[in-house]
Amino acid sequence: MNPDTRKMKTDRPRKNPLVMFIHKLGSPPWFYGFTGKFVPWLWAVFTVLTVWGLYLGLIKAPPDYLQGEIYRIMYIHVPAAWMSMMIYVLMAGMGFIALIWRIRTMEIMAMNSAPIGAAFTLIALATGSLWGRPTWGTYWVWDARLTSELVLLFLYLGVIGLFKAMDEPRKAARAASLLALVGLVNLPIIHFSVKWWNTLHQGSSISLTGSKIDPSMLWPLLIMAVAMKFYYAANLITRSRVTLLQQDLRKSWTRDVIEDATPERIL
Amino acid sequence: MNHAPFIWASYAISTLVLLWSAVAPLISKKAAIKNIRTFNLAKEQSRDADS
Amino acid sequence: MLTEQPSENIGGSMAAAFLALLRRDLLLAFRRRTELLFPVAFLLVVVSLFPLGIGPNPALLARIAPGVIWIAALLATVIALDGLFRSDFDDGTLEQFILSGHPLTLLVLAKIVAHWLVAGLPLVLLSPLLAIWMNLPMESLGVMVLTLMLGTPILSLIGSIGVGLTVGLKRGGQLLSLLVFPLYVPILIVATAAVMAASDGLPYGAFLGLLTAGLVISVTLAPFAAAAALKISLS
Repeated sequence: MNPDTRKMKTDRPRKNPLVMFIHKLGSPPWFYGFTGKFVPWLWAVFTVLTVWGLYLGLIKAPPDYLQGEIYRIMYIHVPAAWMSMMIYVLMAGMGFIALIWRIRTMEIMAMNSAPIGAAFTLIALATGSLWGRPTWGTYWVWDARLTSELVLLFLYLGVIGLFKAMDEPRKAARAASLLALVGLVNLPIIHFSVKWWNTLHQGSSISLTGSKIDPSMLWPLLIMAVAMKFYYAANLITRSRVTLLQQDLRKSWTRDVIEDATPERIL
Repeated sequence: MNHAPFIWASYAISTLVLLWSAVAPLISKKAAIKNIRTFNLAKEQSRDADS
Repeated sequence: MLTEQPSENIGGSMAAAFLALLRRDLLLAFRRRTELLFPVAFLLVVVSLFPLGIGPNPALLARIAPGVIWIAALLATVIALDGLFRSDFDDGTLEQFILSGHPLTLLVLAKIVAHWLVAGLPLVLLSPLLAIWMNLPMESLGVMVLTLMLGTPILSLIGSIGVGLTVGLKRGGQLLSLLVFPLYVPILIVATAAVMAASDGLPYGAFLGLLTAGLVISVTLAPFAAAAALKISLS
């Protein structure tokens, strides 16, 4: 062997920084420390964006010429509905990575996405129903969007239920990730079949959002949508760090983390 | 029809759900930290008893 | 020497393994003949409850017939599916399947086919009787049977994934319905739409085409997912 290459090998191996980052992210202590630094910032950005978006949406934006004031539910309903679908896709994607590479932090992130996604689905359903009362005259109509959201809620509940039903968390995470993937394959089929079923039975087809939207109404919507993404990121990381503490109760790094931390950093 | 109650109710429900979803992990974090402390305390005591 | 022989053997005997497992499962089911009647009896009881609950108005019954029969078939399938892998899981046969060297996907498919022949096909054969009970027009009776013929295998195939995931759990049965019912939504919609179209004298070929497409897709994909699910449950 060439002496030069041998010398290279004894040196610290140089790796692609991105690969290194992913490897480090798979290590629980590193993940805990790294995410702990910026999670308060995510919460801060979420708060600022939400306040700004709600101010523009609820106070500055003019009432809709067709729907009046009630359209203002849109600023929470539409971002929540978007989030509910985006989180399902991300959950299935992280579940896929967890299944293939068996990265524990990925398993934890996929599983902690499920309750957040279910919460957004619940918000989309509740606000959609409250929006329906003045526009349709009833709280519930088997409208294509509401029905899709309902099925999505059942899919989330299935993932959460399967995860909670198994005792061993890693096995449970893999099983629930597989279920999420199966659900992801089915999601477009469900979505289009429900849409098509709705037109088939000629249900009320009042669309909740107008086809053309004024910029003064669009901006708050976009700001709220971005704010909700920050909420998801912050909440997901907070939850995942707690799960790591719960699972690694007997490992030494958790003791080091909580003994080193000052009281305000623990919370 | 007065729409204000529906708008307020929507935002109230959303706030409650999002707040609960954000606070729930903090509560379990406190419990987790307590568990880690008791575990390590028990371990140290058993080590002291051995020596 | 030993390393060379089995590879040849396995290559030639994949179909044999499939057929052997199919035969074994059918034989086992046939030895417990009474249990074969459970899904059928369940379907009969559930469907007969609807006229009692809603009233014997023939027009109303005819209107809801496709939905009622399909939902009852869906429930019967899920209840029967619960036992798909249970005995093989409990006595360690599934581990033997994995060790056998044959692809687990193929063996899972054999089990699903056997299960459908035992629990799904009787429902299809019984459905004309139910259709008459529910006052379904004679023109759409054939379509009803056809949708069940195409649709119940899809239910078994998709359901097998859920069974694979819940097989190790004590109360897997209730969880199973939560896992698979959302996935059944498109099949229910397309199948009942086909029967309703036939009742109204509208063309229904497209719906049957969709169901066939669903069957082809689920035959090719679901056994892989079910095998992966079983491997997770066994780990």
